[in-house]
Amino acid sequence: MISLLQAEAFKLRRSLVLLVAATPPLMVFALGFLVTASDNGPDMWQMQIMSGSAIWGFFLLPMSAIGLTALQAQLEHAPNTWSHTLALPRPKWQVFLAKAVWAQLILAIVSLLVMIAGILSTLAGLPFSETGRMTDELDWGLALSLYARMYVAAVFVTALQWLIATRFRSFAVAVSVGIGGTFVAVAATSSKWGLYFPWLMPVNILASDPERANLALAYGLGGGVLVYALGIVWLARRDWA
Amino acid sequence: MSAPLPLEIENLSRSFGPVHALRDVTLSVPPGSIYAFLGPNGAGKTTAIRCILGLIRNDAGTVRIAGHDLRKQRTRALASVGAVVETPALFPNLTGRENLALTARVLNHDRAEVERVLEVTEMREAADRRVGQYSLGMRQRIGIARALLGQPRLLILDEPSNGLDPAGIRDMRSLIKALPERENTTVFMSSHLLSEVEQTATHVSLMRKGSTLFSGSLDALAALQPASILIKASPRQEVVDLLENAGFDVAVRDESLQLTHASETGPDTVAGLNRSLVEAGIDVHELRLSKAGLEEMLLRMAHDPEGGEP
Repeated sequence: MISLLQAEAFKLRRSLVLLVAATPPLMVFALGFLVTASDNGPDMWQMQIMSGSAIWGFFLLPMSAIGLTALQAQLEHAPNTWSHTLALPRPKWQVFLAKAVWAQLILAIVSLLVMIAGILSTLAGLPFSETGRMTDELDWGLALSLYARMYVAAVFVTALQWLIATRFRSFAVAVSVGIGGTFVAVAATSSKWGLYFPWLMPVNILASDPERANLALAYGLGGGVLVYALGIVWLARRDWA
Repeated sequence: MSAPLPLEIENLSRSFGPVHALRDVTLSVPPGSIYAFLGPNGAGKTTAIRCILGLIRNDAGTVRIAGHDLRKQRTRALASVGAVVETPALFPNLTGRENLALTARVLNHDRAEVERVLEVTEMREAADRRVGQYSLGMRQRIGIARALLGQPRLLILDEPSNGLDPAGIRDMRSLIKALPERENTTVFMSSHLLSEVEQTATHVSLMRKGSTLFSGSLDALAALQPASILIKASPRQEVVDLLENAGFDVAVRDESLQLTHASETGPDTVAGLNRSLVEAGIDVHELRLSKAGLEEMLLRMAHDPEGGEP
C-alpha cells in the first residue's frame, strides 16, 4: 500500500493538480491583502477568520474539491493509463484507495494553506491600512478548528466528486455535477434540508446552532467514508474496457 | 513435473449485450515462443487481452498465467506479466525514466532494474525527456521497457507495430525477436500486420468474430496448407494436357499455371515435372514450388473455418 501511495504522489509531478492546488491560497492571499489594505475588512481577528472561512466553506472549498478530484482522475483518463495501472499485480481496491487518500491529502494541504494565507494576507495588509491593527488577539486555535471541521464536513462532497471523476472519462461530467451542486447549494442555503446536502455541509459548520454544526460534521464524515468505501468496491469490480 | 505454461486459455467467452466478443477461445502459449494473436479489427483480440489482464471479466472459461488462475489468484498471476495494451499509455508529465521508476516502485524493483530495461530497449539517452515529447516509436519502446521490469515470464504486446514508420517497424521487429532469448520471456502479441507476424512469430492464433480458427505453430499452419507449383511454359494447351494426364489439378492464373497434386507436392515433384516437360519438348520459362503466405492462409481459413484446426 505504501508503494502505491508513493506512486500516486509521483504521478502528481509537474501536473495541473499542483497548479490548481496552489490557486486557492494565492487567491485568498491576494484578496485578503487588498481588502485589509483598503480598510474594507473587519477590525477583529475573530470576524476576519469567520468571514474568511465562510467564503472558503460555502464556495471555494467545494469548488476546490471539484477541480482537484477531476484533475487527479484526468491524470489516468487523459493518457488512458488505466489499462496499465489496473493490470499491475496489486489489488485494484488498493489502487483506488491510494487515489482517494491522495485526494483527501491534497485537499487537507490546500485547506491549511488557505487558512494560513487568510491570516498572512491580513498581517501583510494591516501596515497599509489606516488603523494598522486589529482590536483583538489572533486566535490560531479558532482558525485551525474551523478549517479542520469544514474539511471533515467536506469529505462527503469530495468523495462524491472523486467517485464521479474517477468513473467517467469526460472531465465535463464531474465538473457539471460539481457546478450544479454548488448552484443548488446557493439556493438551498437557508433551507432546513440544506444540512443534508453534501455541497452545503462545510458551511454548516458555521451554523449558530451547535447541534446543526455537529450534524454537518457527522454527516460529512460518515457520508464521505460510506461513499468512498462503496465507490472503491464498485470501481474495483467493474470492467475497465 | 514440467513448468506451467506462460499462458493457457480455455473456453474463454465474453459477450457485450447481444454481441459475442469472444466465443470459447482456447490456446496454449509455449515458453520462449513469440505467439501472435492475429485477426482483423473487431475479431476480439483486444477483448481477449483485456480478459487476460483482468481488466474486464470473462463470462466463462479460464485464464491461467504461469499456472495461476487469474480469477482466483489475480495478483500472483499478474506478477508474471508485463503488458503494453493498445497505444503505450504513459504519463506525459513525467520523463521516460520517471514513468519506469513509478512502475518499478509499485513492483518493488530498484533503480538498477530501471537502467537495465532502458538498456535493453536502447532508450537510455532519451530517458530524461518528458514522454509528451516522444515519437510514437519511442513511446512504444518505453512502454515495452516498462513491461519488461522484473523480467516477466510473459510479455503481452497489443499491436506493437501499429502506427510506426517502416524503419520503426523494422526496429520493433528486431527488438521483439531478441526478447525471448535476451529476457528469458515469452511474447504474446496481437497484430493485424500479417507480414510482420510472418517474420516475427513462431506460433499463431487466428481469430475471426471472437472465435479461434487455428492455434499452433507457424509450421503446423503451413503444413495444413497444400503446397502448389507455379509454372510458366509454352505452348500452354500442350502443357495443360500433359499436366492433367499426370494427375495435377491445373488452375490458369494470368500468365502462369498453378498446380496442385493429390499426393504430397515437394521439391522432388518439381524436379520430376521439369524433366517431363523438357522431355516433351515444352519450353519451361519458370517453375517453382509455392507455399501459401500467411495472408493467403488466413483468407482461406476465413472462408473455410472447418479445415482450420489441426
